[in-house]
Amino acid sequence: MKPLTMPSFSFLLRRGRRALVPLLLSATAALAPGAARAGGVEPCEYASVFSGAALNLLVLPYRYEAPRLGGEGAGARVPQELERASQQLASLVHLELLMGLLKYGSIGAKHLQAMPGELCDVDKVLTQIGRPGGSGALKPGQSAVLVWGRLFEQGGQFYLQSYLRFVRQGPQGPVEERLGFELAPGLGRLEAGLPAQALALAPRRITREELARVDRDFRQAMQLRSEPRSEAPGRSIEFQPQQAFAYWVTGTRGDWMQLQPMAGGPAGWVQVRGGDEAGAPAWSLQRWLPELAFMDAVSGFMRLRAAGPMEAAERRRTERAIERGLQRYEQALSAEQAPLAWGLAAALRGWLAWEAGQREAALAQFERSRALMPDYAGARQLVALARASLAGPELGEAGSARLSRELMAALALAPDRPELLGNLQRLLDFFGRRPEWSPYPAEQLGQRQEILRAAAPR
Amino acid sequence: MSLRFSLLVLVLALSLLCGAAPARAALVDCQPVPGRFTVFLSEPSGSLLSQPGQPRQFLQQLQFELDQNRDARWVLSPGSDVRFVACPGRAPALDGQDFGREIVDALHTRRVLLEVWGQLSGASGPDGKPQPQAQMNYLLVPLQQAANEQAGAGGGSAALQRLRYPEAGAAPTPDPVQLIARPSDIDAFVASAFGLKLLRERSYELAHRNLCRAGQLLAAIARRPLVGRSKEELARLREQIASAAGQAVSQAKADAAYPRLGLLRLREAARPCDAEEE
Repeated sequence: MKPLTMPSFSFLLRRGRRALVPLLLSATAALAPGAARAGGVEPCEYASVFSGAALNLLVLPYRYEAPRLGGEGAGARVPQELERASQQLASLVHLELLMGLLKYGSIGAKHLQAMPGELCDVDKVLTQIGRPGGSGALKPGQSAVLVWGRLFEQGGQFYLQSYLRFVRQGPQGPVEERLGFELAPGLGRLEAGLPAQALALAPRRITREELARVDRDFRQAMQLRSEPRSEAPGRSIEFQPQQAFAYWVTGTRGDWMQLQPMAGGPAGWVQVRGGDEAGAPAWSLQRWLPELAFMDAVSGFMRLRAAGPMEAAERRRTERAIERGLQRYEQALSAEQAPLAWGLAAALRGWLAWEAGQREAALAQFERSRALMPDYAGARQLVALARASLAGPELGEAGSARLSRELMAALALAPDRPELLGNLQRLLDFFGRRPEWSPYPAEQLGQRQEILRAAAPR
Repeated sequence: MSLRFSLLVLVLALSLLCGAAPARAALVDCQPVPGRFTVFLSEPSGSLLSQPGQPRQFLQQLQFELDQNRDARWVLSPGSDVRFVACPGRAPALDGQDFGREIVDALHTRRVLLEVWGQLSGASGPDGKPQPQAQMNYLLVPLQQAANEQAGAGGGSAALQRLRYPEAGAAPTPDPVQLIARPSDIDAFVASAFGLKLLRERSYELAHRNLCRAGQLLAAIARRPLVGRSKEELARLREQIASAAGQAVSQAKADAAYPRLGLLRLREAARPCDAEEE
């Protein structure tokens, strides 16, 4: 079977990665809104997003880390094959996530590669794509999900750990999500964020044989066919980690995705979602990396947050896909093994339920999130505000005292959390106008307001 | 019966008596990470790791696992950079009798926050498969140091915490590392010890934050089906942590160097973390 290659891209990569940038940027710029379904590879230092995509996924390198000092094999040279494997994994993660994300529409996914000897720093990438009005940067309302990871060895076993961060672009740069709560007339809107928008997922064991098998299985499945039929003549995509991978996703039909290489070469159809409803496709990396399902779900959540109209039916489809992703992850890892991911999953569910007007169900999910993340201020704050909101249209004296105590308890865990400080400020200002509800005497109230003003971020 | 035979019998009897009592283990030194707060992972006793090399391998795996868990919580990291250090060959007695004043002072001086050790044994699970069981000990060094200083002042210290794994209802695991590397447990004790240490160093806000965080994590442990001594010791620790959080508030307010608009001035020592009253 003759492999499909992309000679012009490979040549550019081999001769100099910088030469690739103008090509990819022009391709990015050409992406029309509404048809925003694309994948690409580019150097980390030139990180950019697809301008027409409501949601951009950026897969940063998975780095191989040598065994730590004192452990077995410490000080040994990094085996080339493991470096290669980590690069390959990032490529595969990118591909699989891209394919999964197509169901959310208006998406772009890029694999950022570090230059040899350089690191791809997530903070720098976020700064790069978050510059307000910058070329290749997110536009206000667009979302980004950043994924990266590491491959490491311990006691003869390989482990793979993924990290996740997600943001939405505000007028002045990336912002975190906020859920609004109206608790009483005159109080104004109080806001709560998610418990976390950055997460290290639980490390997973993976054997060298499994690494090889993932690659082999994937290559076998990635048959580019002339028609969206499994019997149609096909050719394997000869995918190399160091080789550029830049396709427009020009169409889908059922489980099939139509790929159009950006730099020429044959186009074709690939079967990509052959088991999405019943579980991961047989070749899926999710067999080893259930966190990909979690990332998919978080991406769906951020797709819902991105600006732009979304029909009710599409929203319902997206919500179902989010739930499937979360469930798939939870089936693979117990709450004991991954309490933070479970806690965040509960918060996401609660958030969606709250937005859908299912307030009691939302509170139950927020409480679950708090139980799983007892030391996360954000989880505590969500419960406090949801509970106060459900208590009735008026806070009252007892409700005010309880809310104050709960917000102060959250503040004890994260005294620098801006929306929490803002909520407390608004609440105290409100007590100034409704002293009969205030748990604090008047002279204390003024002092408290002064302290909170001093603590609030400028 | 000759005198020689009588002496032999006496020696044997004494040996048996000594054998019945808990053996005082040799406490070899272990090096903390210079300039960092450290948690010592010492060798557990028991039948599960009886083969040569097993304890060392176990400790390395445990350190690795705990490092991962710490990294996984990097988003919180309230000012701490705590390192885990495996201490092969260091095998404290199960009852904690090795931790006399000198040893605890030395640990405290070298910024060791916590020492973890215990006993691992094997048993057959309901399905006949081997299922490890453990009693893990956690010595909160700053609390033990304070207790040593106040010896004779009365009131039991909660510096030594003991938890048994698996707990009732927990999913069985054949892996002893997975059994005991409970991130929230270790985190609760590290946050407790770190908060106490910071309080002694008059770093009030960071102490308060860690102590309140510890309070939440300890409360989560307390909701599990603990029994007997573990339950009582944990309850005592929770009281002491809440009290220390209150001290962080009262001492900050009384300290002329503490900012006039410092956040701890929002708080009352009696309700330092504004815990819910319901």
